Amino acid sequence: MLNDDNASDGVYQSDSQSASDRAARSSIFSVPSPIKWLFNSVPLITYGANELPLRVPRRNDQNALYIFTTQHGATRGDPSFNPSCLRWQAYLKFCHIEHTTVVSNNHASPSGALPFLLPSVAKGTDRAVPVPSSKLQRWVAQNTANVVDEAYDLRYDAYLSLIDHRIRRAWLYTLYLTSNFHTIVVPLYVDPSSTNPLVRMAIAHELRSAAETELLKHSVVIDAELIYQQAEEALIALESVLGNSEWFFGARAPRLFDAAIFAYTHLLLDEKLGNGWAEVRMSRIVRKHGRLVHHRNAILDMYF
Amino acid sequence: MVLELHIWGPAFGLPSIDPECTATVAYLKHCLPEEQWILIADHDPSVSPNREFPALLHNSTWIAGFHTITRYLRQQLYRDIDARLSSQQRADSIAFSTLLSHSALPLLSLSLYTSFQNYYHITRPAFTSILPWHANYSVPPARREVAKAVTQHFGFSGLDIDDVHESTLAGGNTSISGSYESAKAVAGIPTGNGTNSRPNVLPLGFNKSIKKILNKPEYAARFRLDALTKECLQPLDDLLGEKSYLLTDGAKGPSSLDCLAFGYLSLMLYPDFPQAWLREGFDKYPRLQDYVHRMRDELVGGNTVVADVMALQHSTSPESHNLNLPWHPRVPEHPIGVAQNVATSILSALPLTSHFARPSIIPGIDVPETSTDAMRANTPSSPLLTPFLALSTILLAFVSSISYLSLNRDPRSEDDYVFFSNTEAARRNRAQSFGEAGGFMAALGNQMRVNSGLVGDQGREQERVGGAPVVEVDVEVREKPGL
Repeated sequence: MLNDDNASDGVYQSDSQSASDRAARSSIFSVPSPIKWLFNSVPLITYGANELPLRVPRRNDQNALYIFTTQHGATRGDPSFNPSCLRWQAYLKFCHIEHTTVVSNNHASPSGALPFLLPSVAKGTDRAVPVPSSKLQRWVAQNTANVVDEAYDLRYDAYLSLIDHRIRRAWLYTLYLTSNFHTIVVPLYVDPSSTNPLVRMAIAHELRSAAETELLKHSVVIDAELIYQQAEEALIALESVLGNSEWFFGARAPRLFDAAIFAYTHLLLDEKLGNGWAEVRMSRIVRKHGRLVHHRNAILDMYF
Repeated sequence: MVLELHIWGPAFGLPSIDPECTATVAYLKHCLPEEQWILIADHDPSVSPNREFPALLHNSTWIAGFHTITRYLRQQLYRDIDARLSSQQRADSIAFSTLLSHSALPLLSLSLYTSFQNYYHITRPAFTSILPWHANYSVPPARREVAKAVTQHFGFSGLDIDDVHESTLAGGNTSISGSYESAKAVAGIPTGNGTNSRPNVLPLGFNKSIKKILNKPEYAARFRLDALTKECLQPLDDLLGEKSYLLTDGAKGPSSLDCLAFGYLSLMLYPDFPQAWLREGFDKYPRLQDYVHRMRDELVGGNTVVADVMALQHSTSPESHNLNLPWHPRVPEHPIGVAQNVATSILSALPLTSHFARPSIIPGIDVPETSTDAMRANTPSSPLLTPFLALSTILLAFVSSISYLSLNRDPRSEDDYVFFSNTEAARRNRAQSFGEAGGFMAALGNQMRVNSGLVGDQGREQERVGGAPVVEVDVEVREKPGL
């Protein structure tokens, strides 16, 4: 009994030196002594950060464009198989900006959509801030001397809307809602994401329904005939505005508009895309327009 | 061989409440002689192959949509008002019509449907005067849902506002433009138009920085709306220049692009909305406004009086009316047809059945080479497919609505079926768990009570809007995370 008292007294004295500490102990915010003892005997250790995986690019002295592509294609700088990635990839090439391409997917992007660019940084400075595609044009204008001037043309926006709406809708339809889904989307987008068949099924279903929702935004029903007709009209109009000049709107060098149309014409004319086109109607429509095919071949030869 | 053009009925002094319908009317008036076509204000788009008006009936073939109709007239009847255009002008016409419909449609959707004040005070009453009683429960809410889906990605939470609705009922005037103007006045910025002097409703402190004020959601929304309006109108204004039409000048006459532009721009200019941001944005383009006024006289023959057109339905001799367009009365519906319409609209509004009721993909028929010349003969299903199918649909809809109503009976809140008061209690009503269908059912339930003489004050309150039995269907209660 006495020993016990002494022992508790000793603990008491060693634990708290002054009267003010004793007062603090009684407040409800203080740590109860058994828990404090437990934490003292089990010290908290902070482990060092893990090593970065080996596949992470160590060199950041080069601009890295994160796009949908294959591992093999990334090392060779092949054109992306995604139109919006290919548009910016081609634009960077037009502006002579050196960059490497990196295999990626939408989950990696800060904006939720590819492409994005991780600019190169000089040694000793902070980490690079990723540039999403919506700000890429401004970034290019700020960071390079040989920027391609975008001369204002009254009709620029109107013709760009043909690409962004009519041709994009036809692209979405022909890629996701026809048999091309199994020969192109599945090997390029679905299979690399996972090896689990259930996950693959879920991703495939998600992609298809997303495309369907997007197309249903503009009409109550998805009328394939109408979509193809409108895309064909758009291509006729685009070919007519290209005329006999080499680049759109009479420019001396290809610009963003050329990149935008190239992104679709190249992929539609690429017979080796995925496992090949199963539904070739849209490709056939593009092939009918000789000057657009020539435009695409010229870009492919000069820049890729 | 007379062509029948079926459209949504007239509104705001225009031939139709829908931009593409107005555009199609203008196109047909310009390209066909008066005796070769008739115009019908219809309300049941299920006859149309794409389930939307405008729809053209020619020799039992239905063709739907502005672009498809102009194409059909060009290829089958050799009527083309764009024939005089050069190939470059044709290309421009295609490009600008795409730009126009993709920039103007979201604006009109926001202005006519998404904005609750505008929808509540202007758009829905306009529909009431052109639709039969039963279509009022399904058509305007369904169109509003579509419009909200189209405009969802803008994230204008400040527009689709039940809060504004409530504060309006409480007597405050807090439209976006009103509070915007008053905020500018408070901040010492000269307001754009002196005529728009709305009461100062914002209790602003003097030490609030202007940046703080302008960062508030309603002003941020207003800035974005103005930017969108400019994005839509500036290219057209530039294209118009000093010409008399968008593409051509003088004696060449209008083109199909003029018809389409009139369809969209007129709906921005003529309706008198409480939230008038679209029209205020339009005021910056006086040249374009003159053009729209001129086009109304030239393309559709001036003002369309809604009452005169709707009076046709009840008169026997269509020639006795003095109308600018070849309006004809609609063929009266068979009662079974009406019942089936009601039944299908109930079924398509229910969460589960709607999925099966609307097959939405029409696959293309890939005919190798020159496949585009082959116009598909659309033979839509007749409204009375087989008596068996009709009866079973009606029965199914009736059973499901009865079961819904019995499920939803709540002795405490009988009155919540009328949503005029839009109170918190009404918001939490179990009808909402059924989404759009819930609102629809609730309205139908109320209509049943009205018909069976059980109504109290609510019945009289319904008569307040425009004489026709309008039931306020509040479908705006779900919090949309995306908005």
